[in-house]
Amino acid sequence: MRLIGGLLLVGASAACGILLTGEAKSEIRALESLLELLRTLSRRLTWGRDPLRTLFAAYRDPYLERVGFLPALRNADGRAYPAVWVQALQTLPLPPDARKEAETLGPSLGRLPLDAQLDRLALCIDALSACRDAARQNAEKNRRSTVALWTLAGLLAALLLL
Amino acid sequence: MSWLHYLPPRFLPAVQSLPDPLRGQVTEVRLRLGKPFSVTAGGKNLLPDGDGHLHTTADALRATGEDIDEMLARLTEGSLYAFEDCMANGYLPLPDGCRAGVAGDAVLSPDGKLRFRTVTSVCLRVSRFLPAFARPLTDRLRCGPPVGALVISPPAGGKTTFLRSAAYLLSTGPRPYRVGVADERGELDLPDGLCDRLTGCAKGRAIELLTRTLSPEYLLCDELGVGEEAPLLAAQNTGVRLIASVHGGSAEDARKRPCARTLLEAGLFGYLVVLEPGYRVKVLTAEGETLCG
Repeated sequence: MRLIGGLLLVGASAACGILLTGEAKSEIRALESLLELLRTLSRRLTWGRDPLRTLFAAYRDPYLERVGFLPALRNADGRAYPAVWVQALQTLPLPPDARKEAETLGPSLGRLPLDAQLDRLALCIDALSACRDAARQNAEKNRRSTVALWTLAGLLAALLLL
Repeated sequence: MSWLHYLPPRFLPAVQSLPDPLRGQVTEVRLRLGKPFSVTAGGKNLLPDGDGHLHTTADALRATGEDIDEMLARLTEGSLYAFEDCMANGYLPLPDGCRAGVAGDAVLSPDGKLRFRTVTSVCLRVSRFLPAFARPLTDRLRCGPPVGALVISPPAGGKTTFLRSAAYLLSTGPRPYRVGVADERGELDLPDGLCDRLTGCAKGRAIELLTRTLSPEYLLCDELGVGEEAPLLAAQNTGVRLIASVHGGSAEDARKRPCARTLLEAGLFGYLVVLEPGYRVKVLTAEGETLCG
């Protein structure tokens, strides 16, 4: 009975460790969705030159819809896109460095000629891709160490109780 | 007045406080960087403020750089890149047939495109739809021989309004014609009719495309310029009748312009339509004989 209790304690601690790595996963998910949106914007600007309002209205991403990012972009209510963009970013769980990079796109959004707008988008995509790669590496490292730490803590607690 | 939303909020009271009859006659609204804000209504340039008073240039309402930026953002739906090519030609097309003209410090970029370092003037031209305006011409076209017409007036004299009416009258009614519109600046939108409109495309190319692919009976295009006569001459013997407009104060003025003279000498137009202040229409034969007005 004690052995089963001990095993349960270790298992529960390991599960806690796994759950704690979920935050990093959501950051990566947000970054990937944001990057896909920016890539689509870049493609659509190159070929169609549709206004941002049309692009945001037509864009589909269940995650960005669910967190409120796309609805925030669509409800500009006459405000300029730089302000709308920064406000919409608040809905995404981004790592601080990625948020800073994403925010730098705001002031230029819709205010530049096409080639300059595309250059700015490309720069932002590169910077966010680097942030995403770093976040993935960190997440993997952190996941292993967090799970190991929590499992160890559970094991110690079980040994003490036994 | 659906065009009011293009104005920065600071200037709305100035337009809204105009007396009723004038407010309905507004044809242009202009913002100039650090210079007087003006409204053209009833053929007069007015300098209103938000309290319903009219001023002189010395104490008029003036636009700041932020006002100009805000108006440009409103005119371009916050997407300047989408209107880059039109901006290079000094205008912004608007979805409701209105048009904005822009001026400022222009620079030629390495790729040969004209760009504005600073926009210092924005002129919002309000579109009008006067369905019966072109009736003196279209009644003749329906009853008489199949010929084209050249519409002549000074800038802001009602040429576009006349063409919009002509397109509407010809493409609707009991015996509608197929009308092709080479609408480079997106100003000739119609509520109804057998009208095929090609927008955003240079007039010459648009006329060629419309003639080849949409077999119009009438072809309309606004503001002929130098070098644009070749595609019109090419369309001459295709059975398509052309209604075009050109800047000029009178039929004589128009004949002095190389583009119009070439087309008149080629016999493209059977009628000349001279627009006079107050939306008065004078129709002449190509030889200059007055038929009405």
